[in-house]
Amino acid sequence: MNLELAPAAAAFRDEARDWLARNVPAEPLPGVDTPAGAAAHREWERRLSDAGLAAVSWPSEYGGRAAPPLHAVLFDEEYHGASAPIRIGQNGLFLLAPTLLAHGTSEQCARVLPPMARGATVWAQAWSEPEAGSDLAAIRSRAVRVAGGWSLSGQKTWSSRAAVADRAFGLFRSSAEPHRGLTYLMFDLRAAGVTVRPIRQLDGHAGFAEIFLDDVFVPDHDVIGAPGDGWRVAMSTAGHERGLTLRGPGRFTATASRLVRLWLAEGSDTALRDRVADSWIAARAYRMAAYLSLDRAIPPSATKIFWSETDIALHETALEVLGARAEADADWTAGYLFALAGSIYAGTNEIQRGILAQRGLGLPRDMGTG
Amino acid sequence: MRLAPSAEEADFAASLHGALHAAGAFSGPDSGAVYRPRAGELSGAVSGPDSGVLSAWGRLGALGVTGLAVPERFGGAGAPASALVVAAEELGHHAVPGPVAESLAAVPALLAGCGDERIAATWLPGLASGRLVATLTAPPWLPLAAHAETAGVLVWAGPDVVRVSGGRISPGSVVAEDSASASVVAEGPASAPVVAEGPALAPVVERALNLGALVCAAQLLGLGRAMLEASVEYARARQQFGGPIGRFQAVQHRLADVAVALEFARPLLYAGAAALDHPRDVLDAAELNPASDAAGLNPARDVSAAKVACAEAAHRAARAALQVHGAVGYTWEHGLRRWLAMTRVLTLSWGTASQHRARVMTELAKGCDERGT
Repeated sequence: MNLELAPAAAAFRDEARDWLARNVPAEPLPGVDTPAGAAAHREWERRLSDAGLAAVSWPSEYGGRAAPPLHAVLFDEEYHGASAPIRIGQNGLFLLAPTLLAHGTSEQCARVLPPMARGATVWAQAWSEPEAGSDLAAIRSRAVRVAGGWSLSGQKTWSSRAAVADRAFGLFRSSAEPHRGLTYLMFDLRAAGVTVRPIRQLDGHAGFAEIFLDDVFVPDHDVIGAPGDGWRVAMSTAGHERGLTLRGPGRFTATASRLVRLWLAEGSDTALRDRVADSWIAARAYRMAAYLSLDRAIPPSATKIFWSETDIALHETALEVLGARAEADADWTAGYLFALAGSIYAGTNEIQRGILAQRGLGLPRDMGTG
Repeated sequence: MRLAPSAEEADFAASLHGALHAAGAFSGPDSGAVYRPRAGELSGAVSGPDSGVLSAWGRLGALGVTGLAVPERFGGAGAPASALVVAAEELGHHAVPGPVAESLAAVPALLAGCGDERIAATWLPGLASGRLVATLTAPPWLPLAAHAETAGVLVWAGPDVVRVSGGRISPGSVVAEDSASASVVAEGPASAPVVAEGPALAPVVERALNLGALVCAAQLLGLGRAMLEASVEYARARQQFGGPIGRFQAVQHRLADVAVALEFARPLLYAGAAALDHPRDVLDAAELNPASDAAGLNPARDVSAAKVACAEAAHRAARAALQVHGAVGYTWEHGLRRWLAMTRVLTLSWGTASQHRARVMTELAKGCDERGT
């Protein structure tokens, strides 16, 4: 039990910290889901990529530097500690890329990953449908075999970043079997037959969108894994979406630090002290769990429940410290609204508790979940 | 950088689990056949001077547990905090009774560090072998000495003073029987002979108390793990409405929340050990990046965080376990009560959650002051 960084890790941490200190824009970029904001965030991704910091744990030939997983955690902490911009590439970088590296062909990796790392291709996810939310295996959007590939038809929804993205990835029904009839495909959001309709969220931003597909052609080389094997492919890397890959500890460590400073500056109310302490302790636990997870696996479902609840607790406590002035504090309020989505997306926390109880603890499967 | 236990520590924990399981008396509630206390164990606990603690200590001595924190020159292993928390988690897992954090961690640290070789040589070899049990009073965390009836040495620690009294409970002390945990608590020997005092002693006392609180946290994590295991086993076996009760979401989600709490208490426990074993390690150069965490490892802050989180997780596990077991868990005969009682006692001992949260905030405020923010 030793948290000392080896010289190489400390050197990397210092390099990232130094680069971020010199390069993070002094003024926040425009909103990521607006056209101007998307362009600015793509440019930011390109600069990260030029510095070799876009995806440090990827193989070098795809735009990474083959760094050990610890370095990705350290980078995440430095990134959030420096209040750097939201990663417009996050769906691709943290969700699609691990799937491709595990199940994709080397041709797919070589074609898809480098432009993803440079911010040249921005990816949206296309999982949910109007009738397939928590019950993801109820997907109805179809992939029909045609010459040289597949024809996609149907409707996807809650597709994060779809309003500004170039391409999307998701599951489509290629036969009637509930789980084994699904195929994992990548498709072009600018292709003929695709219509994207942004959805305004609770927080006012068009962070997600509906995608309508009408006979959209996808070539065979954009199928990940075998046709019909999409559920297994998706689930084998679903942990990335739920767990530490999607939400590193940096966001919560930085937020907890801000909360403690806020309470020390404002905090005459001793009644809130224990809540501030508990919120900080939770963020610290998540950070230490990230380090522990390098040597001891933590169930992704437990991770997802914990980070989402920690995020809400941190922000709710800050709002309470601010009291009625919170409504005039744009940062904490926006952070709170963002945090509120966390217990819903990437599989609701109720779905995660079911997975944890049944697959983690070995309780019997209920007919309704799993 | 490795927060997980070493392979050697993991092997030690596994062998300790196996030995305690085989011994039967302290097997976890996951082992149905030996769930209940042995005949006589309970009556001995209530009426005699030995609540099963002395026989337990002999066994723990043979397993190399009682000597972990004792320096090698006094017959111990001189092991780091990491080894202690790994062992203490297993002791909690099996609800091993007795003043574990006092006798195995804090008192050895106090006596070895007090600077009086004669005192150290008098008591430490007995503690290392398990022949002798120690207990401790250290207000405000430990206003009373737990399991005083079994202790052969009572220590009283103030911020910069250590008093030691041999023999059983000292005259004039108040004795009360804590029926739930079947132990005896007593006011400590505040008038016992001073063996060391002065400002130089303060870091020794602070480290010893941090070590004790961390070992207590480790016991709580083990207790919580055992109660979750027992609850899962019971929920799989107990049939109602035509099937196991563990198929119901209300049961599944409650136990999942226990698992989450335990899963995320553990990293704080290990970080607390890292802070005690390597206090100079620094993860963040805070002066370069004021937005990041306030400081690197801080034993006071990190031990308190671990105690709060492990106690909360164990409490959650205890409440869920009793609820899932239903009426049978509420009986004296069922073994669950031992885990419940020990969880309650240890949650309130070695500093309450409120005391530890206050200490976390005090330490965080220092970090911000040092940075000038």
